[in-house]
Amino acid sequence: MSSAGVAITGIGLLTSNADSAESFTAALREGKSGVKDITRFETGWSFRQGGEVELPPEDQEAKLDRVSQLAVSAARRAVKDSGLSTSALESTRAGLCVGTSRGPALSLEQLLRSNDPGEKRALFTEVPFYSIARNVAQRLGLSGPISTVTMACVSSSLAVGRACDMIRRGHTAIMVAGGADSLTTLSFSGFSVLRAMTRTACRPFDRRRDGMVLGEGSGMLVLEDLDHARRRGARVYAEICGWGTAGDAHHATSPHPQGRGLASAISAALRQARLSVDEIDHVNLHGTGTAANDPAECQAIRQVFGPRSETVPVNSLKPMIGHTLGAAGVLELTGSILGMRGGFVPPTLNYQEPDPSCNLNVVGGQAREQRIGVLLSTKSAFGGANVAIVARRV
Amino acid sequence: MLKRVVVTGLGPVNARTAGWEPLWKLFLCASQEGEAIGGPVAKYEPRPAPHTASRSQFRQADALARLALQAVDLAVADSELDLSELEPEDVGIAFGTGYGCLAANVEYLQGVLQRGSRLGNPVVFQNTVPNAATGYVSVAQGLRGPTATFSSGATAGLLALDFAYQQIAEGHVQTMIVVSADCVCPQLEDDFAARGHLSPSRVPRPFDIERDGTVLSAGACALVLEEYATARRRGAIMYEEILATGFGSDPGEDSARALANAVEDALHRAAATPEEIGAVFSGASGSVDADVWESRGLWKAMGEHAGRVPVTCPKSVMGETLGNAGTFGVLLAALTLGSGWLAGTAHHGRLDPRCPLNVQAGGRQVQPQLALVPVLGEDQTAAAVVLRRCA
Repeated sequence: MSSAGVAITGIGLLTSNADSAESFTAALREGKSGVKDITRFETGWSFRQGGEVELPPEDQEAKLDRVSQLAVSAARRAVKDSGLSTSALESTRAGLCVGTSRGPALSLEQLLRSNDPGEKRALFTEVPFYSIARNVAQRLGLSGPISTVTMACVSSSLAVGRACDMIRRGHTAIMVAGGADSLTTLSFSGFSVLRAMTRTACRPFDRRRDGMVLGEGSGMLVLEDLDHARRRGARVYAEICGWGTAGDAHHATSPHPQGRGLASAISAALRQARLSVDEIDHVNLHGTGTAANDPAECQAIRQVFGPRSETVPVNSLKPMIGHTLGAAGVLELTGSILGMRGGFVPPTLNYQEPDPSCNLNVVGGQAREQRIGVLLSTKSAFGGANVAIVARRV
Repeated sequence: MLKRVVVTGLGPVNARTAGWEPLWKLFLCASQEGEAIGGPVAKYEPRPAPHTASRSQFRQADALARLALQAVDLAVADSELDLSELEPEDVGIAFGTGYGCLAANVEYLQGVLQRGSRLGNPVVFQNTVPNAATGYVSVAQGLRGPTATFSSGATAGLLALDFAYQQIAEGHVQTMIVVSADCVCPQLEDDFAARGHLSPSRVPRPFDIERDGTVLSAGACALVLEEYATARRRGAIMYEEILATGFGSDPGEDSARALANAVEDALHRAAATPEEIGAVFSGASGSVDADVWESRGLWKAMGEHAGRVPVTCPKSVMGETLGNAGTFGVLLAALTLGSGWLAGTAHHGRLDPRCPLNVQAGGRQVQPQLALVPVLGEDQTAAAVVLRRCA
């Protein structure tokens, strides 16, 4: 088992407000939102907001499901950003871990609409969740451990954590890890009938919040054994120094009101990182803007951080990019790391009237200039799953 | 220093059996009589622990979750572990599924396509993520430790096993529940049929010259994993020890290379030589092509020992169990390591010369110290686990 940490040496992403680490940094600093009316399909509802991604023409590959196109595009960008060659990926038996919540739902929808056996067969190749990993791995030429994790909104957080473990345990020195989800009829309809969607605007931690706004996107990181990265002189965005996961064991769709699973996940991540809450400079929360989620995770933060919870700055990036479901974990971790490198905490857009049940130090309005040495990113999901990741400057 | 991890509970479910004893009997008979398994599994009514809040939510569990719930109930009962005596945070769950919530996604989308986006069924929607099953099990059993769900095709069960193994080996928790499950829905069956993967004779004959495909089989398989010293202290039956897992893939078309990478990785991490492996629980299903890749992969990783070591094929009895492939292999290995009896491969007549393995047609006595469970997944991915007999 490697004693060194795990370095992030490449970033690739596509969100509704950015297509690179540089443009994401700028968007987060400026508080630029990519949320607007969805144009790709009819939502069937009076509200139609979403964080839609414009997939560049060079990344469009018609035979792939949209979620795979998003994932492949981000993965290619991440590898390019890392400076690793194809031969380096081959010689190290680099692996891949992809997280997704909804998977290739668009292909399934098309398959169910189709009466053409040939078309159905072609579409079914894309339908299994593992098709995303296959499509990315084949295009990057990976020969290491490959897996797909599906834990709803914590999927890509789990993918990043799992990939770190594969490196720490010595299965490989390099992993590409992250997640992707696309906006589809399935997710828009489903969250709408669950009454989880906002009719106005996504306002995490705000007294007037009335739900979330969906987004789509993909984020992929090149994760590398820290020693390996240093030996090749790679740029290191940050080190992932701990992560943890835990279940609520409470309800299929609702979080535990006291956020007990999340509190356990945070404690596990801090234990692995060998850090105390006093050393955490910023917490990026899930912050969906739903009635149940926001107070629950604030309770978890209060439970773990104690008095420190009153001062540590927290935020949610979802008003800017929408809830990107399985991609949320990696995209929001990445955004927070880019903020750490830029010396600021990205703002929680639309946060104006604090909710007493969410009485943390929420960064609203504008980005807050601040030196960040260590940050924590937390996500929670359907099924009571929670993941927390700790990252620090190198 | 990694802790030792042992398997102390077994919970298999398929169309014809529930629990390891009837399954083992079926294997012992099937290897002589040649009877295949397939078809749907009877609906299971979940039995959540007495302390469980919102017990009514289990009425909304779909077929996938019910399979997982039933398998876990069986495995926990088999382990004689009283979960209520453990700290909930000290018991976690890892779930693996090949096709997961496909049936729920189909049901939800068909409703929306027929009735419109506003009339989607919220009860069905909550089952449209693979980890819904994980959630139901964790609520039913009160599991608040580490949790993970894998949807990686046939390798999913072993990926879940690896996650659970790691949690205990590194000392994060002392107990983990591993469960895999898969359902068979019409869309999946149609696709397997369209690709020519289904056996026209409905008889899976792995490595046989006359094999003509596989039979899809719904089911679930749960395992209770415990830290060795803890299990020993409570006097648990220790079926086997998990020594190491391995993973591999190949970016080209070489599935054999992917399997070889996984087996080499597992052997290396177990500090074992190929010659020390005394039995192989193959994932071969009777597929015309994949069986050849599996054989070649074993030869690449194990050299000539691949032609000597006794090989048995659980799928000859169970059919294609999808994401359960690895966990059922681990379960059969446990029963073999414990009993010293290797159940044979059903329907095996004449070996395909392109698969020069020592495939056991009938059952036989064996005394292996180490066993190997390799799984060749879809799209040139593979996983493997090395298991040790518990003294």
